[in-house]
Amino acid sequence: MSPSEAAPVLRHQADGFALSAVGVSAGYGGGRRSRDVLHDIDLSVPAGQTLGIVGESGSGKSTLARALVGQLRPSAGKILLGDVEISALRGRRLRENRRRIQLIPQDPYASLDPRMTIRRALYEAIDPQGRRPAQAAARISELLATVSLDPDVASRYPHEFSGGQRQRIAIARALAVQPEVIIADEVTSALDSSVQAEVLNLLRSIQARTAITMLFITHDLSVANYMCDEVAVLYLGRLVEKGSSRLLFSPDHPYTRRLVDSIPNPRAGLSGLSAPEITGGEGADPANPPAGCAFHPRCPNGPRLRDDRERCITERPELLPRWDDTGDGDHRSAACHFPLSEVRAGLGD
Amino acid sequence: MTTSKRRKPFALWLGAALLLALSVLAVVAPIIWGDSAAALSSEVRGGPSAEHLLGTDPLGRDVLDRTLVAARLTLAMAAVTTLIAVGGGIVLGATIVVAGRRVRGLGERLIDLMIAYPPIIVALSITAIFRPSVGSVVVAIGLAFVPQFARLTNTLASSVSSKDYVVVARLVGLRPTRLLFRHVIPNLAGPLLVLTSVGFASAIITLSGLSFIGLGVQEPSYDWGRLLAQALQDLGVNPIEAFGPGIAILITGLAAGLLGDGLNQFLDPRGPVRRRRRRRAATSGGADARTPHAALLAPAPDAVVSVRDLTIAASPESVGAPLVRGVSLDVRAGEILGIVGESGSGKSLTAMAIARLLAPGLHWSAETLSINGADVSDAREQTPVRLATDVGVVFQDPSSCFNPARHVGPQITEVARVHQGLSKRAANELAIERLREARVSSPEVRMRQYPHELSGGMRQRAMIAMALLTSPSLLIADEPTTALDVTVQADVLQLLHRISTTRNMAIVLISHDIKVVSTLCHRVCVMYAGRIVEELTVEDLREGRVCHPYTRALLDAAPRLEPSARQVPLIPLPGRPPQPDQPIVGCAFADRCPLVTDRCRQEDPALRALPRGGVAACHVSTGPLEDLLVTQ
Repeated sequence: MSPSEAAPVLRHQADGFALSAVGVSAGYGGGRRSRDVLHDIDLSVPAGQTLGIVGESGSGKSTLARALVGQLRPSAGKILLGDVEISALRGRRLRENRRRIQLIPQDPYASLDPRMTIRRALYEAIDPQGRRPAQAAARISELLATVSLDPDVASRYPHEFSGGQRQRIAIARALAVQPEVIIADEVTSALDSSVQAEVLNLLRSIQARTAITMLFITHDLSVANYMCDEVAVLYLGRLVEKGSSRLLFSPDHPYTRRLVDSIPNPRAGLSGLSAPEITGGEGADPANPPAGCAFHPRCPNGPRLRDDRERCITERPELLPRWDDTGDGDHRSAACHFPLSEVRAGLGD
Repeated sequence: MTTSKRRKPFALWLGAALLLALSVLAVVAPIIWGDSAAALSSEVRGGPSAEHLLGTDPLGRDVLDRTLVAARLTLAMAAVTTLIAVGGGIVLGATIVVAGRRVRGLGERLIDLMIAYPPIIVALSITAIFRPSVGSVVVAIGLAFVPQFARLTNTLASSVSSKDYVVVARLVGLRPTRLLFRHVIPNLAGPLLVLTSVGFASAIITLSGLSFIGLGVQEPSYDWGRLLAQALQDLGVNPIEAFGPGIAILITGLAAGLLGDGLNQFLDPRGPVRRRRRRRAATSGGADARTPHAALLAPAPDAVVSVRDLTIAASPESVGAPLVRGVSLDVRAGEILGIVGESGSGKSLTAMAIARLLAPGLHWSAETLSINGADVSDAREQTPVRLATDVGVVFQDPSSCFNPARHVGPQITEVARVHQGLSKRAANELAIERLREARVSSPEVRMRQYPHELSGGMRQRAMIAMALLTSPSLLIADEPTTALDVTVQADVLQLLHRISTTRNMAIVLISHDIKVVSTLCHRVCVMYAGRIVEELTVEDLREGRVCHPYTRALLDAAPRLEPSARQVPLIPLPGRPPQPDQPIVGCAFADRCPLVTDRCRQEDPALRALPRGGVAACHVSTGPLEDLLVTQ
């Protein structure tokens, strides 16, 4: 461990990553009773790109978001934000660096202080110390225009807005801080589908304009496909597969396959849905995942159905590169002893 | 433009006026009536008379005058007591919240310990240690109430500081103290104000209580409690004597309560807001919009459910458009009908009306609402017992539909035992059979478990089993998969499909997700602003042969899991659906529609068969809309 201590930081910077997690584990509860729900996460977001984090509830998506923004101190590993190891900072230094990474929470009804006007909320984000009122007013109008809201709405309170409008305000607020990285945690799951498209397009256009780095957490693979350059799949607190978002169309890990096949596909109807689970595997305890490959009790290719796959119960598969980027941006790692595709899939599209 | 105007809460003004009057009284009463209250007279223990309205005490002093004069001491003592209790409580509670983890744990335990002693006991102990006097009694009661306020501040502050907006503010770089004063304290203000007023009222009562038992105010001073104590001794002889101080305590407590409640409402920006309603005449739709729909559908004698012209309104004379306007539909046995629409489109209301489970206060009427041929459209009639066994309902959130304190089994069997009179054993056997049908693993064990011991998917399957218990002919599933993970959703959809085929059951599936609806259903109704705007077969929906611009917009706004999806931008739907308090003139979708014409703004289109095929409520569309952008 010790010789490689400095290595991740160097690689992270040299490769132009805006945000990296290196061997991050995190959990809840203090002292001896603490339980990790996130184990040994390695991931990097290239500057200016969008990484999607997908997985079911209980997979640790939100815990990862909390750890990355510094709300939850990792129990192991480090989080690198640009050139700073943010997970090692405390107090004032942490507060200064925190502004470089901002979170847009899931619930637009809970993310705005009900007793603050939009102007005050944005003003606070622009300058938490409250020093430069003159510039701020113009900036607030500009921010509201960015998210297609009338500057006049600044004097209103959050309850006067619809869910979609609130989510746009939450985006404006995150942008007001001028962060390098935005973490969007299920930002559209509380919205109607017609409003969802609006918010997704807004985030896409902001990224196209400002080249901000984004981490997009979602349970909806079609949304991940629409938004993300790269995708990382979490299952019970571990990454099971990551790579360019093309992996959604030829997954290597049976869990990713299962997620993809669960998406209702109108063209295929019911026959397009995967066969029902072989067990009631859902509901496994994230703080106490099954031994070996955590997915093995649910795996359709796994030891429950095939005798030659004892290895999945006894040995945890490492997240290993399947192939590297050869110039077309396509790369892939998977944590499976028996990946679904043995050779690189030829993708027509 | 709907303008909103703050309503001045009546409670606030009444409370403020009462307290102001009491304060003025406290200041002037001893000056005006001080002497007369102390004047002795020969009329001892007198009843009410012109001279002494509330009678006299054993020394012949006027009770009314004494009550008025006592206001100053009583109110001053109560105010100081409340100040000590609230101030001390907030400081203690807030300090514990911002302190480090260890101090917080210790502090919370300490408060718990202190709260275990009733305040009156603490106050008694303190006054007993010191010499009974006005000062000691005030301090004693103030301190005795500190733990309660500390605990409340602490609990409220902890819940507020875990809110998303506090988390986000922390990320912005706010210092902890600023965070506390800017986000946490203001959001505690409401409940704390209410509690302060309650605290003030209970301070008066406790103070009076201590004076009453002789530990508080000592002669020759007197407060209302002291007067009451005196009156009690004479209660048998002169009951009127207790009236003055009694009513004074009551009024003061009431005023404090009203003020606190009113302030809370007034300070909250979300408080009672009165929408100035539009005065425009509510010309809804016109007759043409309603009638032809039912005629359009082939009369279906084999329909399990038949609904004609269902209308639901918040109140009969409500200003806005009804929440559901003239919905007609049929569902046959073995058919899965999907109702899709955004929140507020009336899809759930429609389903709940069919199940006769509408919230009280909603008014509904229908030309026909029949289930299995039996007309249940009389809105005044109580829900017939048959309905409970004919219709099964599955709700969105399985975790809130089971009582967490009871085992799953008895909750599932309740319907069969109550409505079908099955024995406990027969009902249990039936339930186990249904659970097995719903693919719940080891059903015998599940019956004896509590709801929280089941996973989300398992609970939803248990709810489906419960809905199937009485073998209903219609199953209404209201967003049954919205709260579930995609993998579980896939399983539940397959389960619903199997139930409909094996039991030849009619299913109404409500969903906001057009992909879910088009995966499972046979026929789909698209609802917008309380109306069905398009009805189509699932084949047409899957192939994108949709006729109403709204349905088209729903399809264009939904991301697809296809390799090319990233390159094709989604087309968001501009604007918002009409709000429930707005009357609708013309087509409700007109403001958001790319095909809108003048006619659309004046006349609500009827649901009709379109020339090039399809059934939609649109003036412009003539048949399937390939792509709105191309059409334009």
